Amino acid sequence: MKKNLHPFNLVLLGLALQCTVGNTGAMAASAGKPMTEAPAHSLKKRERLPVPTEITGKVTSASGEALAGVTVVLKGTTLATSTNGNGIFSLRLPEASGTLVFTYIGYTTREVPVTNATVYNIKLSEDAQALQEIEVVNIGYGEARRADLTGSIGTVNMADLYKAPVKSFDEALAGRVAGVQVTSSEGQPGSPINIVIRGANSITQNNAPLYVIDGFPIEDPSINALSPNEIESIDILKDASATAIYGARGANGVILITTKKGKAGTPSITYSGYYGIQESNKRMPVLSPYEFVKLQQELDPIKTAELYLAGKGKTLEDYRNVQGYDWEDAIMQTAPIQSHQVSLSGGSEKTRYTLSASYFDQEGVIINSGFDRFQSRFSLTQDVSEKLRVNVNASYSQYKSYGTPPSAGQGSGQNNLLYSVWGYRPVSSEGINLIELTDDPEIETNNEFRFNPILTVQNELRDNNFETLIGNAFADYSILKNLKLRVAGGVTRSSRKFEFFNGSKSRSAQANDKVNGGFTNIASTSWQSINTLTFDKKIASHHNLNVVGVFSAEGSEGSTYGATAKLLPNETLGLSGLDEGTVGTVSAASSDWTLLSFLSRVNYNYKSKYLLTVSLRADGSSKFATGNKWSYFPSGSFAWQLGKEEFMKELTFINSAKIRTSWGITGNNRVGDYSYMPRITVPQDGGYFFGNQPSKGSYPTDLGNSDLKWESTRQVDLGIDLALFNHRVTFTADVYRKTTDDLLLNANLPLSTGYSRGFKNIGKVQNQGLEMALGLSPIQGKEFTWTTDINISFNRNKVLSLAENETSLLTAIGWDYGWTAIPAYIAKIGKPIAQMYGLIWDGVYTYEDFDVSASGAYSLKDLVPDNGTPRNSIRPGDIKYRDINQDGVINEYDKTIIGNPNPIHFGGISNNFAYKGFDLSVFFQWSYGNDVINANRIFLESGYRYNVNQYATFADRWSEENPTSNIPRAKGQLYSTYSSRIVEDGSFIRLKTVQLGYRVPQHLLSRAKIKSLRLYVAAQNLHTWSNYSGYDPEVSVRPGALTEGFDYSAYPRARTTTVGLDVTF
Amino acid sequence: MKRFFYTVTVLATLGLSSCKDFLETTPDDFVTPANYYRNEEEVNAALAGVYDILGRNQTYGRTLWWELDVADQFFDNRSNAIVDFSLNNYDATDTKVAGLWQSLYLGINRANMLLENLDKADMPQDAKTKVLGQAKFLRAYYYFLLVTNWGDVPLRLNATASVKEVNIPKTPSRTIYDFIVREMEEAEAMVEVTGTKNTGGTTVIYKFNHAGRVTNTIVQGILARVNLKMAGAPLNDRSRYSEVIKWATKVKESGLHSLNPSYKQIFINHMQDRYDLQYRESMWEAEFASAGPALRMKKVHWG
Repeated sequence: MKKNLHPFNLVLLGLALQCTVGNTGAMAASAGKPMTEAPAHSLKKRERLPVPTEITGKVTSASGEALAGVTVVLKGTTLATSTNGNGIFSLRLPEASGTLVFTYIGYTTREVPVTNATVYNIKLSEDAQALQEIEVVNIGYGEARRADLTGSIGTVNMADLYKAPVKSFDEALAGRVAGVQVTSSEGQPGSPINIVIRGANSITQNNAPLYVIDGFPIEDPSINALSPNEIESIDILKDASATAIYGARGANGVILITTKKGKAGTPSITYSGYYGIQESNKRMPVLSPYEFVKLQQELDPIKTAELYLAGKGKTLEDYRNVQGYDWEDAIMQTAPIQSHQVSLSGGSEKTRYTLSASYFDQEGVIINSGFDRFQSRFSLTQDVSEKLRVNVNASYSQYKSYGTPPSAGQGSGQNNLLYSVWGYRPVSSEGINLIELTDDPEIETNNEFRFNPILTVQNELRDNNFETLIGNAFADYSILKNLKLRVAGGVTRSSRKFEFFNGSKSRSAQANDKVNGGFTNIASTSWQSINTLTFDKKIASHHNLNVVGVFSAEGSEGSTYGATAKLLPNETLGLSGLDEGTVGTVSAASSDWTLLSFLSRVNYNYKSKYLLTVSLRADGSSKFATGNKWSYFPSGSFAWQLGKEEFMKELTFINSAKIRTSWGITGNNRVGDYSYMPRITVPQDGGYFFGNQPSKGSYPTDLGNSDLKWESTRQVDLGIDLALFNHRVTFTADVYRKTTDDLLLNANLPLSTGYSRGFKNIGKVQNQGLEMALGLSPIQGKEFTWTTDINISFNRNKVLSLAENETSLLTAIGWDYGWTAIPAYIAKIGKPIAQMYGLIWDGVYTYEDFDVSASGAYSLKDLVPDNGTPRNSIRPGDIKYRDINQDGVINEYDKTIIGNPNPIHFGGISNNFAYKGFDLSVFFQWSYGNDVINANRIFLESGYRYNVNQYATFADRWSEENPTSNIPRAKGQLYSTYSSRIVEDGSFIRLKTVQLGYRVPQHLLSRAKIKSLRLYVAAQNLHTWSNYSGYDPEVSVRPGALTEGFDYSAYPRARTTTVGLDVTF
Repeated sequence: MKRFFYTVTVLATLGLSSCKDFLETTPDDFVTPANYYRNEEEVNAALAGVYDILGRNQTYGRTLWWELDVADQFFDNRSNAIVDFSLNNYDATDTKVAGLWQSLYLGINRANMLLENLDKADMPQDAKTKVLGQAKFLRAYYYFLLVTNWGDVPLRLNATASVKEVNIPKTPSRTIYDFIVREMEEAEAMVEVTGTKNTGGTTVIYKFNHAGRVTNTIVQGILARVNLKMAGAPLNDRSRYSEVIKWATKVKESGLHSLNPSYKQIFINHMQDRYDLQYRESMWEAEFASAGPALRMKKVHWG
């Protein structure tokens, strides 16, 4: 997104332009300011001329947008005016001759001869060079011209981002900026989206970037609270020279968000809205009734005869044409999505305001789930005097995400929603309608937790109600001409109320607890005070100096309170009846932190040719013990505008060329507020019963670590920025290396210490990579334009060291209680942080692997290894694993790395086409070379349990009739282990966003007093090309550096199609 | 303008001088060891925390009497489980192995913490001594379980103070046995006296109506057992037999414990969650939560 320069600077530029056309009398025009009329005296002078003509007209951009503040001058005179907020100008000419000159910042100046016509509708085209010159970038605690940047900063093209019909910007960010990896954990509306910039630094701690919204840093922002339409710009700080000014919190990168502010001009009311539908067309086919019964026969012929065949007077063939239950269709829906936003904005030269309200409502493709939000925002800027400017912002957002989360761990993997959807039987005996029953009466209930998925989604309430209130203000005061002070302060209050209720027909209520429910209230208040002094001076015309000094103080406190109750007598009362039940657990917690910072940054350049930035930040945090509270984060960077050198002038196709390099140290403080302190806990269930009399127990639960300090990341970056062929080609590339040491590691401790884990600064991780962005304008015609942007990122992550004596770190995933101790991931020195870990799958045992006794019994040949189960139980068709240590036994010692969740590269391609009033935007996003653990297949493609339906792919399993299959036979994989069989290639390319818009011509709108009207159709997640067998390859239901790319019962991803309109009055 | 600079300077100075306090936050959600163990109530809670280990699933709640003991009572024969401690098919990754080890050291660290901080508690000396005896005994008992299952293990007699204490050498089991005996002998004189029986008479006064609290006859009984273990493999210290007789005799002479003539009644009592106050054959019992109607399990220790 290109932003306009400070209005003050525009005035200067405007004046400069005026001078070039020899007009000294006219007032300067500036964007966002209504033009003053041409001074009356100058008109008077010319009144002696014979036939005065009144002309009028409208000035628009190539795409038809009205341009306000365009200067219109009659060439060679002082006669001038400028366009108003609707792009309209009128001018009284002394006679119908001469030439009109239209000038506007960032656009090519146009000269139009005056004819007899009185209406002049003019289109101005953008001037790439000029736009480049004025594009400014938020660099944190200030702004800089993009041309003067020395660090690596990615800017999101907001015009493109707005085109995606999504609830929040992070849903549309993937593939937009090089070096920024965005992964949505699953498709549920409101589910978390993980953003990792230039690879994960931290092994056990959070790798999320720091967000800075309107200048206020927020570690854990509610991105869902913010409507994408409220965002003016997003800049992403990537290298250390850019992030070091955020010191202790900068190591994971920084996302700077600026919200929309009012612009001067006649008040305008804008409505933006769309309505659409979402659907998930991907289904996981399951076995048909025939195939299902056939499988049961293999699993247990005796039971099957009774339940399905002879006992019911049927044969297998009778099931051929039976229509099975379609559980998947029953819980899915075509869901509506809608968004409406109204904003009022306007103001005078001294007062600018904007006021907006928006409503967003997205139902999920699984019934009874979704997300909705109401947001309103207000921003006012007032110039109190020449020296003082005050700005106030307030924003309130109320949003809710609801619905049973299918992937959340619930003890047994059988409790997850989609297990019941896929695993429920497709057939039942006559007279038993499974759709209406809570559970299946014909299956053994021992160890069976399947539950009617339709009733689950209908009778489980899972509501997350959020509220965010942000209020902040700043005052800018010009102490001297070159010295400016900004005093800013803000408060953010946010709360989350989680409510759950299990109605009588839910799974939970069918067990001992009966009807039950509960709530948790999590609230936090944070405040910030940021004081900035900026000194900006041009010395001896070639030396440009900008010095910033900042003092800031921040703090936050939060609390959690909650209670649950069971055996609620009055279900109809819902959660209000909680007081009538038997009290379950009560939770209460509180915490707080403070942070104090000083920083200084010096930007210096000589003729904008040699550019230098140095910065130093000192952060003091309450999260560490006295003596370790303060730390210092330096950085330096240098850039050379090669293109401005004399020897480059001959290469006329090069518009600009810049080489950048930077070095710096940043930190990560993502650790508990009091992790450094030892802790004594009195838990609810701890203690002892002396003679059945409870006696509460207390004991140390956390060892603490008074030596704890920041994790620090050193980063070097080398980059190049090129603009070629009249800015038709732009190219940016960066190589970087980040080394993070003194990791804040929640390290394993020897259990003989009495603790299993403790925080310490130990371990080292390295990320290095290459990122490139290419912008092209292949066609720049008068009528038709085509621009394309491509970016690609490569990051290589490597663990350099772990805790003392530790060469690897194993991580298990608690998706099922039988699997909580089976490692799925390994972090190994010399390898990326997360690697999938398990056995190598070697197909199935074939007849050749066995000796056959006289009685026809199979026994494994001596040299053939087992598969984790007792040798004498292994049969042809059982799963086979590679015996890595060749001891004939498959166990832990045969496990190795079986997959890598990190992509080799990822990126995006965005194409924009414009033809007359039409515009088309097509955006692809990809990730290549990453693996996914598809844990669904452990339960649903293994025939592991009687009466559990399986994926249709399991029909092709090994059997005596199908001996060439490499899918293990029914019950042929009983040893619980991850293996390469369920590790799949998660590479994909997605047609992510497509929008076709039409701007209705102005002349059709003027009568209806409409300034502009644009209609569009848009689609999100239109199509994904991937070999992944599950719902969607972009999945990570246990997000975190150690456990990326895990899929179990993940919510499907919807395809969204919308129609919308943007109208301005 | 001067006034403005003055104001800024004053504000900045004020800010700086209060920096130190500004960053000193104190938690109000938990206590640290430094401000705990202040009185009898807190000390008793800490002691219950040491006892707590006995009732865990990883110890007498399950592992010690099921997976580690399964032999003659019953066999584990579940069709789906093929790798398990109780099936004698396991490796070092079996969580039950680590669970028992971890729980015992948890108890040891809790005891160490209590022993180190007991001095500062404001409570009667007599009560303090009894806590001291119980904590010492339980710590020694947890070491007894460790050496009998693992042999040489780390002997930690101080609460873990730093995350850097990770290189902990093993201590020869002989040293640990000696330590156990020494500690238990000390504890025997400190803990509550189980009860009294007047010599030759029949009047018996019991201190408790349950066997959850460590008392002197429990310590004596366990001392007999520890010495017996030392006399046998792997130490084969035959000199210990005399100690076995010494401690067993003390139990016998206390007159507080005798065999229940009805063997089956012992189990009936356990199932009914009733302590046998007549014979007190079961001298020490691990106690479990019994708040709900769920099955209660008790494990007998033969003294």
